[in-house]
Amino acid sequence: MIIKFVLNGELVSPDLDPSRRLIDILRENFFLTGAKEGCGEGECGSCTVLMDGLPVHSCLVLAGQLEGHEVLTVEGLVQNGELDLLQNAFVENNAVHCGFCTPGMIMSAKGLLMKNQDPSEAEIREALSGNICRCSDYRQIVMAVKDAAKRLREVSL
Amino acid sequence: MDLKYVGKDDSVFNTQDKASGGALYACDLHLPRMLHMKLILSPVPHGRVMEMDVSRAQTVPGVVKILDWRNTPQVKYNRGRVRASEDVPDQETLFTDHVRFVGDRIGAVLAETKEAAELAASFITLEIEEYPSYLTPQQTLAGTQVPIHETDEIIRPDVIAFGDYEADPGEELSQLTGSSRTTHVAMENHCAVADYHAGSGEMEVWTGTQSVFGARSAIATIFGMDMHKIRVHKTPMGGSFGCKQEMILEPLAAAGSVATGRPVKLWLNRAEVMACTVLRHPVGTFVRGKFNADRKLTGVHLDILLDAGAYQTVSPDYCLSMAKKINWTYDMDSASVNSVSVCTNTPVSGSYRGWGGPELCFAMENFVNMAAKSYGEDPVAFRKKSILPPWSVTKVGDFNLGSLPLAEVMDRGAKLFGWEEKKARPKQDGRYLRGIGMAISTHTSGYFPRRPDWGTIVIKMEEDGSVSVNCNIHDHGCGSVLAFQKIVGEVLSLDPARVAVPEGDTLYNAIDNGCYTSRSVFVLGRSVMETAEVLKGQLLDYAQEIWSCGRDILYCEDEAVRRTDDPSAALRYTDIAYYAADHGKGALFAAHTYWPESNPGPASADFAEVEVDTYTGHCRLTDFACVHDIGKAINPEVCRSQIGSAVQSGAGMVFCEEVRLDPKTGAILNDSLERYHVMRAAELPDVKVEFLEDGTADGPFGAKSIGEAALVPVMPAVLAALNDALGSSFSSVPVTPEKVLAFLEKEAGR
Repeated sequence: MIIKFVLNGELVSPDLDPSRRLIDILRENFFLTGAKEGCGEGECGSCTVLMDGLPVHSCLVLAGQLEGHEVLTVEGLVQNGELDLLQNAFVENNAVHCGFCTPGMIMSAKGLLMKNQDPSEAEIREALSGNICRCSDYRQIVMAVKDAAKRLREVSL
Repeated sequence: MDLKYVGKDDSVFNTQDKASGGALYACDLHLPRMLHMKLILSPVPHGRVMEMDVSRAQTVPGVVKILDWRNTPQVKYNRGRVRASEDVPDQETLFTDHVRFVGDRIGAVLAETKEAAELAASFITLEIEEYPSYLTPQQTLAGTQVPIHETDEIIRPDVIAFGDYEADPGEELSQLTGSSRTTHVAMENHCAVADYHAGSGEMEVWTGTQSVFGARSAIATIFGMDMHKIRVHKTPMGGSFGCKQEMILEPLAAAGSVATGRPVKLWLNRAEVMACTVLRHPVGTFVRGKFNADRKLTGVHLDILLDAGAYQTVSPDYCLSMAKKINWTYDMDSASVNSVSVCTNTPVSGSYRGWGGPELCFAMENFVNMAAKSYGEDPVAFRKKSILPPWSVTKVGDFNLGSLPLAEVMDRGAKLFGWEEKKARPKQDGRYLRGIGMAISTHTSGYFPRRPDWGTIVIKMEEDGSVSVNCNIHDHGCGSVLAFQKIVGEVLSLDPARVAVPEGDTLYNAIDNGCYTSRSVFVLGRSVMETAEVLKGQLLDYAQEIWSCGRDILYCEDEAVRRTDDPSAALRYTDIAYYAADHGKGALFAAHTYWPESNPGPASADFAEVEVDTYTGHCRLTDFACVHDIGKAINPEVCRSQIGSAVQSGAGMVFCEEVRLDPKTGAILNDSLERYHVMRAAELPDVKVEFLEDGTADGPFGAKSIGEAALVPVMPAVLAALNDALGSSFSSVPVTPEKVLAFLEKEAGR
């Protein structure tokens, strides 16, 4: 069936099996391979994208649920080839190691910062507890989100 | 030395691709006409496949071919072998009808889509004659009615010993320690893509591996192919921690491509990674140790029992690796280590970060912590009587362990952690109990002198002054490429962003031992550094020629050769590169080999604080400090992450990480991340890290290893803190909330 939704700011209307998983649609129909599959059951967070501004596991969202919604992936944060403020904060705070969790981690952090521009360390750690990183103790990731929040507040002042 | 790039935290130029979602891992690759492979795995622990009915599977639209043991090579190999000349037991084949564990490979479906491959695989029915199964080493040691393997079912490696332990008159203490199977949980599940061209006989493979040469060697052996026709590329790797160092997927994807003449992708799901790649060894170690009247450790005797799982693979070497580290931390008159590696009808055990180092340290440090407690001594002061002094020569292997600042890491760690202050605090806080513990360790920085080691590197300068490094590096995701960019940048005074360090590629790289045993920075990094120095010499030669001046007035700074007698004069590297080319001088190109002659053991001390909730039995790591003798941190913040990730997995192994098997079948009971818990962001403290940087080691700029070493002392430190909180003497992990509650109930009943 034809399903119309907004993907990274553009209206798309692919012909999809309604039971197809969003992660497969992104990776195989649109070749957006930023969202990664690490578990297929919503535990690792590597496939996190935003749906109407809220973080969701794209391995648990089905095509039939997409009609009329807005999906934002890590690729959608890049504007004219430039990383956005949050992506830059990850890069500049050494929060990217093997990089496999990074897209999902960034999207979870994005979801947090969209509703809370001044999160405490505990709030950041809580918000990121659905995303597993095995390369660190999350220290640099927490630093990156704090740094991004600070920059966001400066921009919006 | 004033350093511009080494020791600084900038990694921006290296990670933008990953942050944008643009980095392509093996699982992101898609080739024209590519097929998807789904494995057919044994549902029983031990048996013979008598019949495999594929008739229904073949009706699934998109199914192209079904492989099994009858239509693929039956060459026996060892997935841990990097070079064909290694003498290791060959027990494994691509597919087998003699299945040896739940998850053993019987065959595979190749189909146009992964959905079709999965569906077809689910339609295959098997008729299996079941054999008696042996799910514990004890069962195998008691004798197998139907052998798991005709040979090498049980391997007893050489006893490693010095002095006469039994003759030591000291007081003897003993302890049995044990650790369970764990899974690495690298975020990227294993994936390999193979593309075989029947016309040319050429094979190309893309894989997140730790050794492209190992993968090539396995494929060449199994398929009888010429090595020059096999090109293996190392792709970005979503973490390894050892799980991607063995040649597991590459030969399977290659078999699919050879059979169909089409590209084949094999990408496992999480349950398959747990069931049929490799798990961390379950190991039991019985430690006996003797102490003199001053309560200094004078000797130890270890009996190690390793469960290899269904195939020996790397396990015998694991035993030896544990044994050979016996005299790297404590000064003793005698030691003897007996070990045995036993096959069972359970998932294959194999490489895990540290290769025996964490296992030995866990047994020894638990023992030392127990001894300190039984003598009523402070664990730090107690250890100081027994540690090896700096620059000691180990009695096993006879090489110098380097500056080995064991006392210093302990003293600085105690201070960083607040050991004395925390010791003085009350243990109980309402329903919570708090405890502290510590452990020390050393580790390796490479193969020397255990195995021949070297690094052969080529560096060339392009005509714009940028540089390309040809080195057999496999970045596990922990920044070794970044480290090498900085090393070259530092030597040449060149922005590291202008240094390309492509990863492992068998077509161009010189043969190498692979990125194992924490040798990347220490051996390859030093090789890269020396090769960059050769290139720098060429730049200076040309500058001397152009300026007709003496060599001693020349130096390199900011991508140019400059002269001390004329601050305004500069020959930019690009000018020199064009000069060399335009005058037909030849390429700016350096090829160089470095052979390491030392192997300093980085000393570490870890301190942990654990809080136990007496209502729920839940344990929390509330504080952690590590002092690590890294020699020189090339990228300090990235090195901190190595410690952080080690704390995450090491503490996880103490509290919760355990692959549980069905006691009747050996099948994994918790084969998903929902049921296999790892420590999350909200469960970890901000780990305190301090590096000792004395710069004495032979690694680049004085660096020693960190990647594996970071994990080595974590488990015993955390377990000691847990035992201190509870007043318990747990020596096996994990200590789950159920075990904590059972202990508390037993104590209350006393």
